[in-house]
Amino acid sequence: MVKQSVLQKSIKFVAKDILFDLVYWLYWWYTQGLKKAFISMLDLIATGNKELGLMIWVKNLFKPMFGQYDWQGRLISVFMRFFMIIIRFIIFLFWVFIALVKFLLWILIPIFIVGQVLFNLNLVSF
Amino acid sequence: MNKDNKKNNFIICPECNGTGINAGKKCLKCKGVGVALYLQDKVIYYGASFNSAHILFDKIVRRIEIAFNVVLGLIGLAGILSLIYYGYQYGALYFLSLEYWLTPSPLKLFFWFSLLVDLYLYYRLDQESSQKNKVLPKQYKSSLSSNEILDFDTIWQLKKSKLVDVSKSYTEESKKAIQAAFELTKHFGHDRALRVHLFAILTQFDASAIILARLGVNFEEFKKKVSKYITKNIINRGGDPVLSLNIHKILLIAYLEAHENNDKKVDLMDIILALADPEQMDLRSETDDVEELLIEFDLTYQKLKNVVQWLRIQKRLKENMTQFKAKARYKPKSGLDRAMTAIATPILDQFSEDLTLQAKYGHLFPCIGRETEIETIFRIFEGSRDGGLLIGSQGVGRTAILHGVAQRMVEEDVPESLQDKRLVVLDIAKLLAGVDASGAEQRLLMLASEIIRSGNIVLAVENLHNLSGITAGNQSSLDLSEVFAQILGRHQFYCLATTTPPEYSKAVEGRNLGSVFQRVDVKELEVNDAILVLEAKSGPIEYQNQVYFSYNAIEKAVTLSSQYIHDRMLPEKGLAIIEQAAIMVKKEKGENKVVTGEDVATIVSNISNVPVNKLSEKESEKLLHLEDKIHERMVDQEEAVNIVAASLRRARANLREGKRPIASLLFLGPTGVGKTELAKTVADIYFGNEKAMIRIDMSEYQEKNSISRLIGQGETPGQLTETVRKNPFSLVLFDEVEKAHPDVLNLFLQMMDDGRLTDSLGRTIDFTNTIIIMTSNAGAQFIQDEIKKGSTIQTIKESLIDNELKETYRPEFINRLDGVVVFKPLSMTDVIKIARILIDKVIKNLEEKGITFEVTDSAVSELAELGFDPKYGARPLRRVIQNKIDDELAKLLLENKIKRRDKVVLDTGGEIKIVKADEL
Repeated sequence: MVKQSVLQKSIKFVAKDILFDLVYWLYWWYTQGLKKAFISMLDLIATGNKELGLMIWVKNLFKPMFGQYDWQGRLISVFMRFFMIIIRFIIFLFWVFIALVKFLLWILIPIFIVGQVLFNLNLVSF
Repeated sequence: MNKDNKKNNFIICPECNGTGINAGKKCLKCKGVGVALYLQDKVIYYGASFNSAHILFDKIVRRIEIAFNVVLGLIGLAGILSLIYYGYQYGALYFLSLEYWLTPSPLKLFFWFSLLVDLYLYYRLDQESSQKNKVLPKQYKSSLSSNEILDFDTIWQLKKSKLVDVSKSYTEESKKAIQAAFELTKHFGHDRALRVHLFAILTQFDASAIILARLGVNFEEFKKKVSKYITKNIINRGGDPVLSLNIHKILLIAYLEAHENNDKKVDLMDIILALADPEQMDLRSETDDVEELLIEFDLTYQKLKNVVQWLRIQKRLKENMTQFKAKARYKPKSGLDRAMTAIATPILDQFSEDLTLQAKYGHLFPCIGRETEIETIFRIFEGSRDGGLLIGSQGVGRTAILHGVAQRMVEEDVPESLQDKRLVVLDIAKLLAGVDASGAEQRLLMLASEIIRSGNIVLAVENLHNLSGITAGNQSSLDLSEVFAQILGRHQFYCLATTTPPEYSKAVEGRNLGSVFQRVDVKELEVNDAILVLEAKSGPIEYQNQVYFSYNAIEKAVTLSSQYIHDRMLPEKGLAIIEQAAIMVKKEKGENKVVTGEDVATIVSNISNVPVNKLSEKESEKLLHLEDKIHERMVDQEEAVNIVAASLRRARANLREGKRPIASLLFLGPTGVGKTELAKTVADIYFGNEKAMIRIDMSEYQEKNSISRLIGQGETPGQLTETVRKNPFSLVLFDEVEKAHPDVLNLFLQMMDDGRLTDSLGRTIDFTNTIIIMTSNAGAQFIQDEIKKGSTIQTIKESLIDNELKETYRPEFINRLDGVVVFKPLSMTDVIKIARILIDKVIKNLEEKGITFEVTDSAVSELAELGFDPKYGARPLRRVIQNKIDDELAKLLLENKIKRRDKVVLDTGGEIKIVKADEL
């Protein structure tokens, strides 16, 4: 804050930008970083929905496909759409699963790595 | 910036006078900040230091940071390599074995550690790219009242969250620019960095150099002039320089610019704008007179702002394109919708083009500045199931709006009823080709049934009026447009059509077609919007012709075309002009050259035949000696010639008021004294051609209903309005104006005051580029009598205006005239001069035939005497010369008495001597 001398700035650089930064990094990982990871998970799920057009299929469940407005066409359409919705929903679930795994990885990976480091340092054993 | 005209209340440190340095040391009161400013509920200041040690320190820190990141990256890479090495040594399957996971090893330790380093590197890079220290976003809540003027003591007691160090929001490049200005100050040994220093380094940075280049600043000249200014005007020298008060202010104003624009960072563009900030313009000081330099290079805040906008538009177009592509991915390639409800439309496909498909592949240009119209269309579709009809003149951008709708549909940024649909434009020419009206009707019905069955189609019809007037011939058969109206009347699909205003009133309004559409008026773009469109569209033209547009070229294309080209609309006419200018520059100057405002002016001059480019020296010379030029054809009438010459000069130097004719003059005087001749001369000199004169004899307009002949009636165009519409740059001569009906004169009031008239078809006819001259014989006898009495022209004029004219003309009419010009009766000497001019014409004619013709002075006087009649002025003179010279010469030529190289001499008494040339 405000104008500082070169000495002040140097101390600040070493203390804050290098040493404190290492501590802040861990804090960031589980606060702002976590929030980011969560948002990116939601984005991924939204993209999956868009790619698969799942909501479009659900909305048009009873609308005949390909302009076939006769009752046979309608019947076949409903079945076909129902089938497509199930297939797409399964793919979508898989998509959601991937997104969830990605988010969980964010939470677990530092812990896992630290664990491995400690283990290889022979500080802990399984 | 500062749209509310609120002055920025800078808080300036009284101890250091805003420099942040007091007696060589950091000022203690302001902690070296110098200047602070209120912004919303916060106080902003520039907190970075600028002495050499700090600059060096910052550079080192930046290097250390980069080096640190590189080391981290290398460690991460080494970790991966160690893993590969491990796998190579023990085989990849070893990773799956329990043994691997249960035996600790140094190599594995290193690998896991390197992963940790990777995570840390990810965090560092994310921190760097994340928008920390963003410029404060604009808020609309009440701000800290700036009335409570605080000083620095109270500022430092404010909460930390209320203090904003703007230096953290500066981009690297803009920080570098300020450092460069500081180093330049040091280089010159000056004691403080001024705005001029900051101005001087602008050409060194890409972001600012491109702005100056677009404004047509010559860099060599720029460097020369600026360094000359700096060496000449700044004399204070000494030690380590400090930032001046003005620079401190600029740094905060640049932040305000970014804030006002909702930018995330303060970049160089903001600094340039801050340098030209109008509010700072009154801070002119002798040593830091950046304004002087701005004026020298013709840079104003508005111009800079428009160029910045130009660069931002181009950047935005690029960004939009990537975003658009990402969204367009979801739009189906085939005619089918995503919900798979549509059917194939083979017949429709044959007679139409799919705009959404074209938009998906990026073939359509983004539509600019038409958000209101597009929203109106959506509202119509949402509210009723009527069609939307875009009504606008050719070239205002109706098709661009259709394209804009198509793009919005691709992005699915449309109301729900339009989602997952495609916009298909009907090709009327194809629809009508090869069949008679009944065939076309059948096609149309089939198309419609396909559209209805498919259900995912929005039909667009360009130039809807082309459907009308197509019938099978007999009385009972329906017009094609009626058929279309019936189809639309069932509201089974959406339709968007375009037409022009006259065609709308002719073919659509009041018919069935009109009742199924709601109108959306598409107005011509405003000048500023048109500049934006041209700026956006200049890119492809530049690329095609390998030239660059200066900002002036763009601006002039819009302003000049709106002023001088009236039969076409913006932005189309502006685009046409910059396209032509680009081609011309490429041809004449070659590739990679700049299209200047002058190039554009040349094109506009060529199109409109009006000189609009800068005055050439030759032309200035001609204008300065206009009187002499006129006197080559006109004898005497000094006062009249002076008035006319002065008004022409005013017009050409662009000093006249914009919204009136170039000049409206009333010529008074007896017949035959040169009133018409002067008008002709003016037309010749100013418009380059005697024929650029529209002559209207007002004795033909004595009836009240004759107005309709002037401005037209119904479909019949008016004699005055139509000619001026076609030749907007001409001299309009109303002869014998006193004979016109008073109502006709009332019409003239509007023409003289607003420079325009409306004709019977509702078109506005522009008179701002005409010279209006009215001649009148009113008071002729009075003038003659007074001249005989020996009164001066001035007194005659005054008494004419006060007495004689009042009987004939209303005072508001006389008031609107730029000048009343009194022509005095000709004296004998004048007539002799005129006779000379006329005879010179004969001499010139004979010269072409190889015959020399001479007339003695006494013969000229004799002819003048014969041809002069005090009642008719010099008019009989022409007849006399015709009888006495032309007729005689014709006879001699026919009798073969004069041959080439002969000399003919006319003496008194009409005696003609022929001096035969020697035989060859």
